[in-house]
Amino acid sequence: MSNIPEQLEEAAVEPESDSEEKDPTEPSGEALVIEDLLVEDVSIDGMCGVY
Amino acid sequence: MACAASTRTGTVTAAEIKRAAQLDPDVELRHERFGALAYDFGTRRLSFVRRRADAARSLTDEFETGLEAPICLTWELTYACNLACVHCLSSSGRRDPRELTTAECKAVIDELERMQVFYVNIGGGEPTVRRDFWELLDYAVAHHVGVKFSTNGSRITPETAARVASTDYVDVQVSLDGATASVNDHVRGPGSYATAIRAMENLAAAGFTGFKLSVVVTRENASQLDAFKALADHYDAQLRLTRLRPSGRGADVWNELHPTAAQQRELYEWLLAHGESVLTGDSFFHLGGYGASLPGLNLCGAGRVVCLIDPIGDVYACPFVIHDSFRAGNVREAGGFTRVWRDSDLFRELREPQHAGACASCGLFDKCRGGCMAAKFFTGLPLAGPDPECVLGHGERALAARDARAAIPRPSVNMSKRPPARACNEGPLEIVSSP
Repeated sequence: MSNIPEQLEEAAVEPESDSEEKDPTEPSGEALVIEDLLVEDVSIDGMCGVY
Repeated sequence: MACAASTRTGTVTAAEIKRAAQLDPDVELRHERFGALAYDFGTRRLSFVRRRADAARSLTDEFETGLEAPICLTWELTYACNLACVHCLSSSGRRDPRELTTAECKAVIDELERMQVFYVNIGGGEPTVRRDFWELLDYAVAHHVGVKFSTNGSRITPETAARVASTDYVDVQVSLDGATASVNDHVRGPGSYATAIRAMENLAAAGFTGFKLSVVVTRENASQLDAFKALADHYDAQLRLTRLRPSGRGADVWNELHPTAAQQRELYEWLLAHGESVLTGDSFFHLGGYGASLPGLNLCGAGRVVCLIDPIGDVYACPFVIHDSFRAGNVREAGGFTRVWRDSDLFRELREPQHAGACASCGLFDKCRGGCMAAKFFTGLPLAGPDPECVLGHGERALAARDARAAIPRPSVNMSKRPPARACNEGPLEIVSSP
């Protein structure tokens, strides 16, 4: 199968700072394992099928 | 923002995802099966957020199974055009009286906003000839659907250039198919080079930087790549090269205009050398067999991440396959565009694993993925098989082996101003050259 495209950039996702102000209306950040997240960027021009 | 994504630790909000992924709090975020997708209009950054545990599967593999909504789509607002380019992929010229009305177009934009389609590539025809073009552009932007429109430049006056320069979420793509007037005008018509140059001058004077200079690479202009780049740089624009497909009137001139094998190789090397400074719309992924993959997903996005809406609301898999075989539905039907995108038989089929056919035994298949569906279809080649411009020459051999008695599919739409019929001893390019 194909490789991950070369232009993809993996962005490091840092854990949130403990001192960061929480939005009380949102679920606790503890529900999300932040280290689990991977952010990959793709060129918006990289979709074949538009002109 | 209602987006939320499920993880093994529970449901998290869009705000949490954006914060964790260090995305701007104002970016649009969209739920997808495999995580979330974010687009920042300001930086043009498109990001996919997913769990590391799922990353063994490449994004390309994920995309091939289709997205909840297109990332972007091409919308041809009209087939009316004041030019008659010999290679027009949509066979444009005359307006179709069944065109979507202004109200219908706005309803489509409302739907795209609900689906969180990040932007539309508006084309035609020449889209600016529609009287409501600017009204629709403003409506889309106001509804968080970005607009990139393709134009021959004829309506890009100092006033309209200033207008687009002052509007967020709008990009302009000026079409030019020769770095010199003689090469360009041979395919786009007399005076079209000067028109495009004037448009770029107006955009630059209005302070619009980074607009696109869009070039279809042909046998006649393949030697001008450096000149195109210099031209784009001169206007502080970005060069965008795309592939000539045998679509629309392009079918009539493809044999004469598609780059030779040697030119394809030179193009590949040139693109590699210029990296992401030159855009390609990922349209040259069939050249990946030469070696390193070119920037882009190297994936046919038809019906998976992109599609086409034509002037009368018909939805096709991509702009290069305007044929009944690739028509998925119509936005005027019950359920609108959303239903077509999510439930049409055609799009469901395209999102299934595709058969490599004759290419299955080729060691380069993972590189080129069999090439362009449209290029195969409109040259009469089987979809499960080599691209007509296969870098190993399999396409050329397949073309030579075609059954001469078999009919090659023709586009379902032809709004050309003049009939395509011509004297048998006269090439289609001569139509333009004739007085």
